[in-house]
Amino acid sequence: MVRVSGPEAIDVAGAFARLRKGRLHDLEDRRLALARLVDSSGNVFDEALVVVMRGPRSFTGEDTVEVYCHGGRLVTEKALSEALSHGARQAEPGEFTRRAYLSGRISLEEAEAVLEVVEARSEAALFQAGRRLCGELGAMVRRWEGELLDILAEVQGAADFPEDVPDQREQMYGRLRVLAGELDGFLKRAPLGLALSDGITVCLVGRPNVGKSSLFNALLREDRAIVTDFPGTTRDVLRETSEWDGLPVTLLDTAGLRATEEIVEAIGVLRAEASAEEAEVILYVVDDTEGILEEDIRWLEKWKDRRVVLVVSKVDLGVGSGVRDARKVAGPAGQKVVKVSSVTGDGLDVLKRTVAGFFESGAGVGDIVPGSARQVDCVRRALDSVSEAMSELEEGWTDDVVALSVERGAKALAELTGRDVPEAALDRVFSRFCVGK
Amino acid sequence: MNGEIGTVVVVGSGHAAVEAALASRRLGLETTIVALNVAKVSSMPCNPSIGGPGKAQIVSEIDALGGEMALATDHATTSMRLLNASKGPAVQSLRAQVDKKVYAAHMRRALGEAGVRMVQGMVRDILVGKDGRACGVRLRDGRELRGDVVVLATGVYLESRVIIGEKILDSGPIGEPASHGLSASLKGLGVVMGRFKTGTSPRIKRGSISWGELSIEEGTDRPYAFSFMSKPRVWESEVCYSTYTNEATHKVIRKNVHRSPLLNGTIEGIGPRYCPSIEDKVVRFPHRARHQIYLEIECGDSDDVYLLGLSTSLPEDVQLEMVRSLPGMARAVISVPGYAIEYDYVVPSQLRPTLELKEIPGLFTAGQINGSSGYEEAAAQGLIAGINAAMTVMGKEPVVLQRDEAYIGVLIDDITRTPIREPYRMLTGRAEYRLLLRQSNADTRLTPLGRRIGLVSDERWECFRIKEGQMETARALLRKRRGGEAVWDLLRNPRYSLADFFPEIPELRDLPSGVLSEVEIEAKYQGFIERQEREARRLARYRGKAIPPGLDVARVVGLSKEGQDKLRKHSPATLGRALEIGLSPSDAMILLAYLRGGGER
Ligand SMILES: Nc1nc2c(ncn2[C@@H]2O[C@H](COP(=O)(O)OP(=O)(O)OP(=O)(O)O)[C@@H](O)[C@H]2O)c(=O)[nH]1
Ligand SMILES: [Mg+2]
Repeated sequence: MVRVSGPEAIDVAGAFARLRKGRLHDLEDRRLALARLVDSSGNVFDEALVVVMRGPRSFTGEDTVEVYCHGGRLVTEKALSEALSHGARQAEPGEFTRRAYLSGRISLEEAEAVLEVVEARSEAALFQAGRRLCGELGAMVRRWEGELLDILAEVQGAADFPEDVPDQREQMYGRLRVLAGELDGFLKRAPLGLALSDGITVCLVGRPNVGKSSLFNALLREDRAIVTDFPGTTRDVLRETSEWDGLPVTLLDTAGLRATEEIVEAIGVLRAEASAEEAEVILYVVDDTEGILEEDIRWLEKWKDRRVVLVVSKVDLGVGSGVRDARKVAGPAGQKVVKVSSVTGDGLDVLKRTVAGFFESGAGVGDIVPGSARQVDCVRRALDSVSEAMSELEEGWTDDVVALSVERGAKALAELTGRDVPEAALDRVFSRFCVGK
Repeated sequence: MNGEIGTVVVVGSGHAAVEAALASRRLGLETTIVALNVAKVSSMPCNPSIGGPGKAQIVSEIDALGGEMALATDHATTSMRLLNASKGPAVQSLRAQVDKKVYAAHMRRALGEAGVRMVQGMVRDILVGKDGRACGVRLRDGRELRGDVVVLATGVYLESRVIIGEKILDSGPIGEPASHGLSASLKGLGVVMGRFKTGTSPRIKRGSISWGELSIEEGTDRPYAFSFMSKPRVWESEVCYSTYTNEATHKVIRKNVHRSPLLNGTIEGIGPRYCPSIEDKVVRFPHRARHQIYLEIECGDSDDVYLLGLSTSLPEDVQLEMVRSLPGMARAVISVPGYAIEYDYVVPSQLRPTLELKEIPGLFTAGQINGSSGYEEAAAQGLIAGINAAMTVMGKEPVVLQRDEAYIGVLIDDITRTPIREPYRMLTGRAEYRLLLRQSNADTRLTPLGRRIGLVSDERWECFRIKEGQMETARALLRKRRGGEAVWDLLRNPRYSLADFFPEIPELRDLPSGVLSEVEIEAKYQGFIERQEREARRLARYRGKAIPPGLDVARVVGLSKEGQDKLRKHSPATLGRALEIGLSPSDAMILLAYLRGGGER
């Protein structure tokens, strides 16, 4: 939905939203009407519903026009850009939520979940979609999503319109297998492509005073971060770029992880956690003189499915507790362990190589380069769901559970496109099958 | 006020109005129905059928909460089928053909027994007090009816127009008058109205059909019922007649398309895609050689047969030509022609999940007036509006069902939170937690809530407790290990069914088949069910986020004035409740950030 508000709202909206009969200005207050959306060259790009609410009896107190687009995110964006080109200024959807998230007061996961609870489902999806998908990757994701929506439309359509939509279970398996192959091929190329395109983000985290900032400086070879004996020195996230073995790296230094009453530090800790969540690689630092504590194990457990290097710092002091503990902890969990000293520089090259090593698998430089870890994650979840649907078919499960797996796969990709999956599947049912009595 | 606890005025006498009135009356409020024609109760202007995918689940949920629709359906059924029998428990749905006169008579009796007062008249204005609350209605003849709350369930009657070809009538369905003025009164109160349209098929005189030329579909032989309190019955003797359109029918339609008000622009309202007219189908799918038509007998002693699948608004002469081209209908006589109807509706994003208008406390809307379609969807909203109307008057917590609790929750969440583009119909695909929301477990899911609300009778509660006990017994029998794996675990293999184990566990035979089939689903689908429960819990955690009772609202920096007032007035216990009383998303975010960070900045 695009909402235009302000004294010239009706003029602005009227410039691209044309009623079938008459002018927007003459539309009765608070009456939904059908309109064609027209771009600057006169092409109709969507049919939409519009409603005019004249001030002061509107949300904002000013004249307000709401345009409900039909064709999903792209069309909505087009409508928005039309509104902007006719003189409107943009206020982002979910702006407030985004601000709350960006100011570090709530986590991304929380923001998303709450949006799902409080905002229109479509708006939550838009927020999740976050960064815009474009180019070849965008086209590819939309094609996969389209295929999943088609399959969903068929199984779900057959359940909801048993008299009108034929049962196509037979062909489903083959289509899912082709799709699984494509998703899998993409993911095989993903780590390298991901690293080459965006560079990678590497985040230093750990309890206070373990030597994160010292390591940050040593890796960058400059005195960028403040180092002191006091735990809790670093507050905000520091960010510097450099290159390790030809790999563009954004290195983050963060506040030491601990529970604290102090508000500035508490925000810092939240941000540290959020930064680690977003990073491609986590360098979890422990102090060789202190060893690995219970808290460390909790954090390592939380991030056990991520690319984590367990870094033992201050090895120049020769205490050895951290090294000993690391052997026990990292063994079963499989994290790589690297011993370093920021004072002598020992281990720094090994650390850089270990990080680069994460990205050396896979084929040559991909034709298609994925854009971010988040996108890769969505595709991975889509593949998991497709594989589940395939085994459910093989094992002879009923259509309802197969449909749920297909739906989950489509929803994983929809996090990148912002589409409302049930609604989009329904659109396909109606356009492909002669449904209804 | 002249009732002991309070009074409710319900406007309308259709499926939503009846459930609303019954609920509020049974909860002890003095309840009055005002309707254009009080002789018409729960009528079925579309086809005489109840249930189907998504809708059947709703009917059973209404039943578990103490509503009337399922009982009326079982009482009036002439045949019943289980759809999607092989597609899994999430989508299995009953559908009944009913005798519409018997159905209406059941409802009329229920209203009478409950003591709902009936008043005939056309409501023109909503009365709003100085405090901004709705406090009654004014009729066209000037009479006023006062009430503590008002429930509008006027269906498709607001400013309705009936269109048959070139003929446009200012009326409601089948010769009933339209309701004029109320829509304007709502707009005057700041309510945004939209316009939808829907259509019906012609009705044919029974005696004018040559039944021998039609194909017969046999009924099924398993016992079924919608209500937990009805004894399942077998419908083996029932049959259903059907036929197909042919090239001649399509030729008639193509020749006359220019006279179709749907396609030539006379109709402005937006129609449902799942219920296209026959002219739409022929134009949009030109390669389809035929479209199926079902013949539905409306009631035992009437003469009318509804031609399901032949919805149209073509002129009457074209309709006759079209009908007569069908097999067995060469001499057919149309008793009521098909028609399109356009009507105003309240854009439902203006409603709280309690179905109260956000901006006009005390005014509830339910059913097609909210842009939904279908008898079942209407009845469900009526029930919820009726319950919440009563809760408001009694000063109790409102009842809001979540998406993972009931199809009714999905329905209300969808219409109040996403813009609807066509009359909203329930489908199983809309419920993401559909494996949890089975028709077969509606009683388990919702009877306890119905009991807490006060609509579940002692008798029903007793039966429910017995069934719960039997379920426990069955689960224990299956979980017990005998030598190797427990039967419960073996059932997870899709190749096994519970019946395979009857020889091993003969005690199972003593339990009712409904109990066994339900426990079988629980065992067989356990992994899938648990996964959905996990997904549902993720969101529930945020809804359930506690708001401390002594919260000093003034210290939550950034809250809007309105948000502060709402929190002070209602002191909601959780974030979910705060949203239900109308806290805006941005205020909710601020509150959450405050609660989460413990931060006072
Ligand atoms: N000997 C030795 N001392 C180190 C090394 N790394 C850090 N230190 C010392 O450890 C103390 C803490 O170092 P920081 O780098 O500030 O630690 P931090 O993890 O960033 O601490 P916070 O920002 O408070 O979380 C300082 O006194 C450093 O001089 C090392 O490799 N060898
Ligand atoms: Mg530091």
